[in-house]
Amino acid sequence: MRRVVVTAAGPVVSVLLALAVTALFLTVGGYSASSAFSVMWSYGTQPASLVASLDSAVPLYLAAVAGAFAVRMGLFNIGVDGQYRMAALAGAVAAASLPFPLAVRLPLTLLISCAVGAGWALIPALLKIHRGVNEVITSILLNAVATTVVAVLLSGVFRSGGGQNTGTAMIDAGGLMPALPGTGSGQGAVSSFVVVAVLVGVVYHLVVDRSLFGYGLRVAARSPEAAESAGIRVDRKIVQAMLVSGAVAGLVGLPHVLSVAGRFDGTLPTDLMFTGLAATLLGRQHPIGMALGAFVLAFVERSSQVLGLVQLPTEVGQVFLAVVLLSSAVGYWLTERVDQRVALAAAVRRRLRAARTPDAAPTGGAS
Amino acid sequence: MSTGTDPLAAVTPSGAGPARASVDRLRPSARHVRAALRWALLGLGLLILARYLADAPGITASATWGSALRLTVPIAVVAMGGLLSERSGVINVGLEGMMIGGTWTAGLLGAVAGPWAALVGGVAGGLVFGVLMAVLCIEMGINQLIVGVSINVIAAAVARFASDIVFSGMDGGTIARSPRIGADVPHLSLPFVSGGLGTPDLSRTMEASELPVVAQVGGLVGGLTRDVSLAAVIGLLIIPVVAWVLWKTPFGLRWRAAGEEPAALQALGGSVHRTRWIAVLVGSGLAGFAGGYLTLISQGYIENQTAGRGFIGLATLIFGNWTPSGVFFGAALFGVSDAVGIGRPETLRALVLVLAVVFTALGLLRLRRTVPGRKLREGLPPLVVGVVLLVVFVAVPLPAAVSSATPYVVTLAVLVVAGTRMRPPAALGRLVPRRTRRS
Repeated sequence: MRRVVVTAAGPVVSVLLALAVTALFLTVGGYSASSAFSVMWSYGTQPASLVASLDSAVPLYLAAVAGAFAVRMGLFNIGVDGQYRMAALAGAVAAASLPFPLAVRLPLTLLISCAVGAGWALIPALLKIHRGVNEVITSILLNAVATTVVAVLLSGVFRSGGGQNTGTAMIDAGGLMPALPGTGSGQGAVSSFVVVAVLVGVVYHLVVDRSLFGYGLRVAARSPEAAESAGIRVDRKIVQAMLVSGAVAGLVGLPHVLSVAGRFDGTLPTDLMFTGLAATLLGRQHPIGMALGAFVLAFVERSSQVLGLVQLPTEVGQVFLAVVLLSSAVGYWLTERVDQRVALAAAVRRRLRAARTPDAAPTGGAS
Repeated sequence: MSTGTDPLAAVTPSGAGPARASVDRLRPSARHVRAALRWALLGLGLLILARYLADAPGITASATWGSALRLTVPIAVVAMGGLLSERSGVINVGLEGMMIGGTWTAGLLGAVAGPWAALVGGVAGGLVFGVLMAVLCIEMGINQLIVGVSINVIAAAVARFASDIVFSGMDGGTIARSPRIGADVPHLSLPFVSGGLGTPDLSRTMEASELPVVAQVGGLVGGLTRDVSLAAVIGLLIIPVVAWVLWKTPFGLRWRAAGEEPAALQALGGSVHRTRWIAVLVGSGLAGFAGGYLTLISQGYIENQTAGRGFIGLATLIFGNWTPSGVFFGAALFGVSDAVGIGRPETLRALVLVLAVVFTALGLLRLRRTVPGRKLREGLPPLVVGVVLLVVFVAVPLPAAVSSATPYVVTLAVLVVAGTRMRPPAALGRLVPRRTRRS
């Protein structure tokens, strides 16, 4: 019972902390925090906003899972950024040009994007195991290289039309991700990428927590020496973890391409990686926790858009997002501290009671 | 002046290592000086060769090398900031955020009180996030990666929010930039060599003469010594100072111990926490200084002007294997290739040629070396990279759009060639309790 409370208390405390800090910023800036929050809340809880939040939570969740796969192997995949942009371009081209019906074309598009993302993630993995170069530095460099590669490919090879048009060819209805059946169409429709995200989450849970592969991954991350002596090839695990992480990262850009823009162009968000990373941290790499984290972040992002209409700075949303990242760590730290204190007090009380009745055996410390 | 003493330290990958490594040993031996001189001459020869083979006057022009210096300084300084904190055992992913903090306060103070105040403001802006990082990482023991990533995001968001409140209300400022500073710290030139103190400008005469070798030497020396901002000089001086403190002082010993074996430091009666506090704070101040330097160059805070330089600094730090000389070399490599990338396409071709020759020679040298077993493993990667670059030089026309990736690709290529032998501080990221309890 206490475990459940503690697990739930972490995110709640985190969000409350972030609210408090954001309110502080607003007050210092000379604005009314309470009115800002109430405006945001009433706008964010409208049905249209909730649907929009759900849709924009999907890429965040995918980015979070991509990061979590690497974190479980003790790697820091800061290259999600480059991976999803490369993969989104490939996906957009594939969806627009493959001559198949939707049922074949869509899975193929997803697969191609996964492959491109994994391929881009393979470079740092190979450099790490063969040349001993830290994956963080290669990923950072490769992100910058990806920016150039995408720009060159877009302007030189895949651009459709001339003049000011800077995007790939529009994808026809046979290549776009359909809306979720039963949710209507147009603005109120939920993209079927929600299903993809759920599938990815389930796979993540099964692979990391319930499979031999995930077990090997965690052993290799916690103690490479122990893993090697138990017959787990750490080098191979590094490559596999980066491949899986990159493959999931390859999906991150697709919801925008296949559901929002209908092509690859300059409107693809560029901050998905860091916001996704925030969801990873907020949800502590737990599949459901990350989903909740992604939704909260998307909700805040969406609802802060209304602030411009009432003469409040829309940057409040960004500040909140940033602060929530840190407060998620602090919040967990606080709840763990409190939990330890409570556990200690309970254990002491039990010991005292056991001392008074000598025949009852002490039950040891609480978890 | 530090830039004038060794103008060739940044010429080629092989040229700078030995030259700067001599900073670590306070008295460089004659052998080292000779080696440095040899490599420097070799690099110079290669550059001159590339200038004529690729018909690219840009590669030895003073403009290129001047901007190379300007681009090197912020990365070197921010990487030194990272070195301070990582050598003490605190992972610092938040360099970018500290730099952003530096640019913002530098913009504010610079607009109010002039260029020197901008530099001081930069340090202060970095310190704000340094204190945050120290409290969270050292006192509370929260995961250092998380704190670093959050600081990056927070700094960007808060800078925008604060700009909206402060700069939007000022004359000439908007949400994305501060009012112009309108003044700069003094710029220096070397007397007699590049026209400082009203003396004749020898290097400019040499460069204008268009004689082979003479013009190139003039361009190089002139670019590195003419009209150098005092802030850049300070930034470059920080590197030997940090190296001296790290290797030669009692604090340096404690500092390295905190990063390598904190338990030993505690056993000897030192305070790991205090050492780490100092290192993180000074490091964040340096990162902020780098931000202030950027603000001075652009004459005001501009949103997103750091453009990932903090991350490049982090990469440089790892690239330089956590040593000051390595960091300087990495930053210089990045700065030079960035400056070349900004220039004309043929300049880029010349750089490709230089790298191709260096890598191929290195690969052949390693293959000929008589160490059994490791020959292929060590020699093949440079050889392959070198040959590929040669093919690119001869056959592939480089479109101008590719040039923005130059510094990143060059750094990657050097990493692939140099490879391995990276050793982070042993206790990087490890937490220690404030006191070792015995009960």
